[in-house]
Amino acid sequence: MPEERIEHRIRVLRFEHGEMSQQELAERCACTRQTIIALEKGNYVPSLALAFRIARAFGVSVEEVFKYVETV
Amino acid sequence: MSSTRLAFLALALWCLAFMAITAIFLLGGGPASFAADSTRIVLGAAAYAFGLLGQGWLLVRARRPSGTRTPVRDERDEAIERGASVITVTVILMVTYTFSLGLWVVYQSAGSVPTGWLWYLAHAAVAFGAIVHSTSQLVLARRMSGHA
Repeated sequence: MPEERIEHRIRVLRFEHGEMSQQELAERCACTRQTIIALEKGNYVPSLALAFRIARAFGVSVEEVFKYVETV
Repeated sequence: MSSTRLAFLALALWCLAFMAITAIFLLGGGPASFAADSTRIVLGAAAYAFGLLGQGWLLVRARRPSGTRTPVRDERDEAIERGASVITVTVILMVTYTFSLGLWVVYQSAGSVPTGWLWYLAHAAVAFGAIVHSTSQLVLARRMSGHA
């Protein structure tokens, strides 16, 4: 069975956006800072709605933030 | 107040209540005399009320503070709470089943169970359920955090 995971560029995008803090991103996405920390560490996969809010916070598409990876 | 802090305080609160309920039930004459001892019944109910009122106070304190733009709870907290609820229901079912059957085994030959045990089972099950729920929340929050 293939292994699947979600990769993201949240940390990279934060730094590309003027070193946006985790707190500021959390405020823009209406989630807690703990959730941003968990996302960046790869310990939590966001809902589709939160994924869209994160992408909107950076002004990019969801595909530019998250990537679905399947390995055999 | 964050969900993790709320769970930690609730755990401490219900541990105190559970220990008090158990001590009041088991000490001072034991289960056999409990049903006829109104002082111990009132004290036990007070310990139970302490847990319930304390939980209510914590929930009021955990409300979203004014002026903050980030929510106190979000979808991750809800996912943690869902997981904790599933664990709690499973554990409580298993413990209640085992406890009830244990009473049946112990008192089968006597023909009846002291009614105080039913009082204890009702109150202790709620307190124990709250302990399991808070503990599960803390464990799941740890696993779904940046610290795992």
